[in-house]
Amino acid sequence: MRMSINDVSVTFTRAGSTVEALKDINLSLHEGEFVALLGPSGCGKSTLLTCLGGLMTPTKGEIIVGESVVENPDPRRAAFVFQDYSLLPWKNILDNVGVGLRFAGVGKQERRERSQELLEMMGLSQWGESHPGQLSGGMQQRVAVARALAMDPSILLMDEPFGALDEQTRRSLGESISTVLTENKQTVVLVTHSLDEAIYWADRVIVMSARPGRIMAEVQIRQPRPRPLEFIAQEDFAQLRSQLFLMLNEAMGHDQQAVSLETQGA
Amino acid sequence: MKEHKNSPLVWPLRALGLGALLGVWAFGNGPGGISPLVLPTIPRVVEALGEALSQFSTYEAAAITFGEILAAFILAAVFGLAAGFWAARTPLRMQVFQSIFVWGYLAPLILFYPIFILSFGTGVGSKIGYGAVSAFFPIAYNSLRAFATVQPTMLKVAKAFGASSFQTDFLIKLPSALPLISSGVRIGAGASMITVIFAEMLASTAGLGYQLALNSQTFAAPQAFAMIILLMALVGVLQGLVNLLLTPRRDRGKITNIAH
Repeated sequence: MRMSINDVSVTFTRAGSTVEALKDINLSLHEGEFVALLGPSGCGKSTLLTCLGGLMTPTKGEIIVGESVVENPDPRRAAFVFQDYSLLPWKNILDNVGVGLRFAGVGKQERRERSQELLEMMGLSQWGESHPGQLSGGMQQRVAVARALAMDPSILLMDEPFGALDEQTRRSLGESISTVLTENKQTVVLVTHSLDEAIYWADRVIVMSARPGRIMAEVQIRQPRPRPLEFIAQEDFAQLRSQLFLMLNEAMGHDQQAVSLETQGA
Repeated sequence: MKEHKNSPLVWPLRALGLGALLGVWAFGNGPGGISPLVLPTIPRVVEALGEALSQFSTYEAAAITFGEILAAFILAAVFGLAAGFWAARTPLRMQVFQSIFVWGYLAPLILFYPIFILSFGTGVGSKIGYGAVSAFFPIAYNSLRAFATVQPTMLKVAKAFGASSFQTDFLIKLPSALPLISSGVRIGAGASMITVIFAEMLASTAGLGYQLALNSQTFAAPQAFAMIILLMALVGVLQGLVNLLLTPRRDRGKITNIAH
């Protein structure tokens, strides 16, 4: 489903002072597209994602999915994968995957069948009766992805999903989830700090400026998805990384001279 | 999280502790020289216990005490949970009621026992009322804290995945708050047992606490000790029931350590 973000600005009050988090964001997402939002800390990437999912209403502007304006959360329209997994510790893995379906009033049998199917897709079929505390961080994040996919959402919103994982787990998990998402033809918005993650996953990387967050640049990644891990070692990847690194530095307010000095020193 | 069964040494060690206690008791009766008016001999207490157990009135008294404790605990649990849940719904209510619940939790409520006697008489009503009020405050306070401190990430999940307000309360907040609520309920259960038995001893016409006070006042030490043993057994049964109620089925019989 197509998504349009039209002139979105977000302002909020924190400790008595007004903070402009996002300013005049305009962006369109095509069906099945994978977009990564990249930017310095505090630039409003997560705030934008929160607005896309209907968890927050923009101060100005609107977000349209299909024909309707996003005003409230609807997991069938857009489902979240959070950085901290946010699994319910008192529920087993099967029930965690099916929690959104339970909220939607889907019967127990159907819920369990769908959850089991997704756990198999995620390579976790034997863990259904376990509890989140018995799983590693990477496994828990796969459960969180399965929970979101269980809703069969038009759009998947991923907020730094691998932020809490080590490098090795991020890579292997990234590869397997990337394959699942590509096969599902899922529209995905990914918030990340990681240049590598953005390039490896996305069709398009949106670079945002420091607060107030604005869209500074867009970079297309033309390599077809799902991408093999070897893509990370290719020349194209290195060039894109370098290009995005310079953009990110600019977004953080570093001048070009500082950038070139950092590059030389590296 | 590591989970393991109780060690096979647990019960032998408990039996050893009991044996040591009986040993100290026997020493007190013999070389210790403690008067049998204060510390009756073990055989005399066993005899008195046998006599008590052969009398229907003992079971009647036990049923009264058990019923009073159970009624007080159930009333406190229902109203305490509801009060904690209601008070945690808005920041204003929380600010108002948190300190009231803490006050009730820490205040010596025994000061108000005469009011219960005046209101409900010396029968079971005053015991249930006093026991319920004593157990209400720890349950209400812990429930308030439990509902007020549900992790924001859990609430975020509920909202993001389309939970209704009812579903958020009963499928997210309640299970998330359960560990803290459970500790409040355990404290409340203890409070209701102590206060009901104490109230029976202070002013009553029936119950095991009343029998204990009566035997003590008439210097019938073996009978008083027999009542103490019966009350300990009753409290043990009640504690077992509370544990059974509050321990999830999958955790029963296990000791859980939070270790990775």
